[in-house]
Amino acid sequence: MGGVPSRLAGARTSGSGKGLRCEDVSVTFGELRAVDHVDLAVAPGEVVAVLGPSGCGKSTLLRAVAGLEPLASGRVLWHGEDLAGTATHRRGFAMMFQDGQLFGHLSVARNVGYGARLRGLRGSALDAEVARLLDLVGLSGRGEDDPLTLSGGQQQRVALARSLGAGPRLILLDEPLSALDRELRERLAADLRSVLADSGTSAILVTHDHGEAEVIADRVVQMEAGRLASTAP
Amino acid sequence: MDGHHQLIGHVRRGPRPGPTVAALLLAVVPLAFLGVFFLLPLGGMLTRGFVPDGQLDLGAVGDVLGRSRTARVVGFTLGISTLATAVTLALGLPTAFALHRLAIPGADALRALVIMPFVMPAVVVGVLWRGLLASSGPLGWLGLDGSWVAILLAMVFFNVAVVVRTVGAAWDGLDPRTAEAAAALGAPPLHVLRTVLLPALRPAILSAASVVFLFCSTAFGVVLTLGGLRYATIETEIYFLTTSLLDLQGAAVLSVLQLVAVVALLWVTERARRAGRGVRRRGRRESRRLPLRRHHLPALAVLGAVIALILAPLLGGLARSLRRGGEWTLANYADLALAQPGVGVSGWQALGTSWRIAVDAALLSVVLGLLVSLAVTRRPRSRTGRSLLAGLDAAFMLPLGVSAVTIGFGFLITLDRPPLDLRSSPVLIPIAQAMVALPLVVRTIAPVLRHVDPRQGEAAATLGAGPLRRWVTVELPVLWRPLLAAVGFALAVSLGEFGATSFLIRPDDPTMPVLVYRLIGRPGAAEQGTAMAAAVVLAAVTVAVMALVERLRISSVGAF
Repeated sequence: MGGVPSRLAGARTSGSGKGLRCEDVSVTFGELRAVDHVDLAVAPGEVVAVLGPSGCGKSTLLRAVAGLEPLASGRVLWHGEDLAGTATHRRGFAMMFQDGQLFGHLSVARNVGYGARLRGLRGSALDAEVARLLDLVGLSGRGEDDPLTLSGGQQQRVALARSLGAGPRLILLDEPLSALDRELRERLAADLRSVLADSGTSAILVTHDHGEAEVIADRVVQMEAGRLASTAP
Repeated sequence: MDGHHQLIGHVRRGPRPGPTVAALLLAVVPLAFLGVFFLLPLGGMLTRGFVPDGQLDLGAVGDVLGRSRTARVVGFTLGISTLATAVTLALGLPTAFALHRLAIPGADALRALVIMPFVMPAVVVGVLWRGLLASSGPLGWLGLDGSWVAILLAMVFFNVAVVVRTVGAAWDGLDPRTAEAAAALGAPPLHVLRTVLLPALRPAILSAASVVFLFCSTAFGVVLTLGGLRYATIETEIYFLTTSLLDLQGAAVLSVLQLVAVVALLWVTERARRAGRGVRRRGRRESRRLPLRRHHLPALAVLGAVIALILAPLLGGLARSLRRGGEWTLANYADLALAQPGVGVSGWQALGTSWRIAVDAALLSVVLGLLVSLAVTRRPRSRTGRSLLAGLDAAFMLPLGVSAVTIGFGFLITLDRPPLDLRSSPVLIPIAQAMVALPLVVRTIAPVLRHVDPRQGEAAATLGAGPLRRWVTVELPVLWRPLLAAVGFALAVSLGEFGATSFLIRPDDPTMPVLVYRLIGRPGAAEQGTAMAAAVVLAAVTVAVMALVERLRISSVGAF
């Protein structure tokens, strides 16, 4: 009974917001308030970087958006619709992990095509999609490789292609480049920027590297001790 | 104000079935089995003991505990188990080091050899040691036949595998750079061992020690075959009281005493394990083995002693099985084809019976064990959920600590009337054996699932995979090898199971261990020799099964 009016209330307060909207989001682990009443909006096609030191709660915020952590307060909305009852796999928010988390027993092509398969693509359509994605990240022809034999940078490219291949409404990038060495990081940051721009996907990038945030994102917000500090243009 | 409340209600809308619910659903069938085929027989046995005439009678408790024989049995059980655990650790730790950290040629084969005794049927081990130590045997001049030293040797023979497996696997899992860092800070090797390695291995050593103590203090077949009437442990005493004296009260009191002691032991070790600090684990990469050096000699000497200890009864028993009337002969093996006097079946028929029962038992225990493993490795977020799963995990370890004799006898007295009249049913023995093997199966499968990085499933979820698809992507691919290993492990355990089987088996259709035990109790040289040959054959079959399991390289097999 309480659900209907509150849903209306939700529509009233945020009906205008296109894209992602976090309202008053908190995540707690026992006594610890890892994410502390955070408000954040990401417009369609926009790439927002959340910049902060390790342990500031930025990864937890990302996991909360993905539905991997329960909220202690607040709401996560997409196009004004509350996602509280929407399971992670129905949100359409693909997450790219710091260490890739590729499926070690599947080939590169199967990893990249994982999301497309779930969307029902098969046969030549699937092959074409996988080839397009591999081309996008500069790994054409490596589809049959074992992902764990690839270098760290190549693994992260596969992880990026896999995230894009799910056809997400939003990509969540959790320190995607911090496991890589400096030179590779700079090159891959530029690639990431262009791939995200070309695909027109919204994204949240979590990082502790200021330069990386500047290169990849349209907008940078600072996070400290669970709170968003200030918004820089 | 009102709106605020609605907001909170809205956030918490629609609780989805969480990991705890999934775990409970998975555990329904195994729990039913545990209830009917473990708790019910156990309860029946205890009821017979404590409520003999429909009235609670605890007078027997003081009476039984006050007997001088009880004190002697309990004292011997504790004494021999403590001593055996100490000796096993003293031999097992250097062996684990040698086999897991040193570059020894043929280390793979030696590791396989050391693990073999663990699955050998206890009755077979007892008989093989007797073949070695009997006055007519190769080491007869030592005069150890029928002494407590023989029991001690057999216990160590069995359990070195547990220490090597458990501690060796933990050693393999350590990040070698931690020790290297200590060395780089100026610590000499022994100091590194004391300040870095032993603390890191402490949980593994503790759990190995407690499991070894558990196995020693509940050892049945070995003590029955080697101890004669002179030496009895609580377990053989329960058997003796039940079958020979029909003293069910005494047996029930001892069963409860044993159960309480075992639960207390498992609880204390679990707490001690948890108290250990976290130590860096390394990834999957194989760490480099150390080249042999002079200061490794003591460890290599211990390894040599352990290998001698393992080979001696095998070779001694083999030699004994090839002799009759002072001559080398195959007559003992030829006699395996003959119907044995007083039994009515041949050795090969008994082996066939054992095999058929073991296949059923292995399949049943692996199906149940898989369900239990899947249940206890779910990852609930709430503390309540986690405690619930820990309790579930512990419940399925219980059969490890309860006398198989108690279970066997409990089956007899509780499952013999409607609605569950299974006494003459052929499913009873496989079910009893499956309950015995179940904890070991869970210990083989669950660690592999615990090892799966939860973020693998999260990655699949953010790519759009639902719960079932996530399971197929992330957990199913790692399952088949531990599953196969568990089948083999359960098969080997069932082939040698004696405690419960000896109560339930039809006298005219014995399993191989029962046949061996009956033959060894007969006076004739031909029967003794045939028993030895049968023991060798059964040992060979279980070792062959375990050799196949070993090829799967699942390090959780036999590790605790």
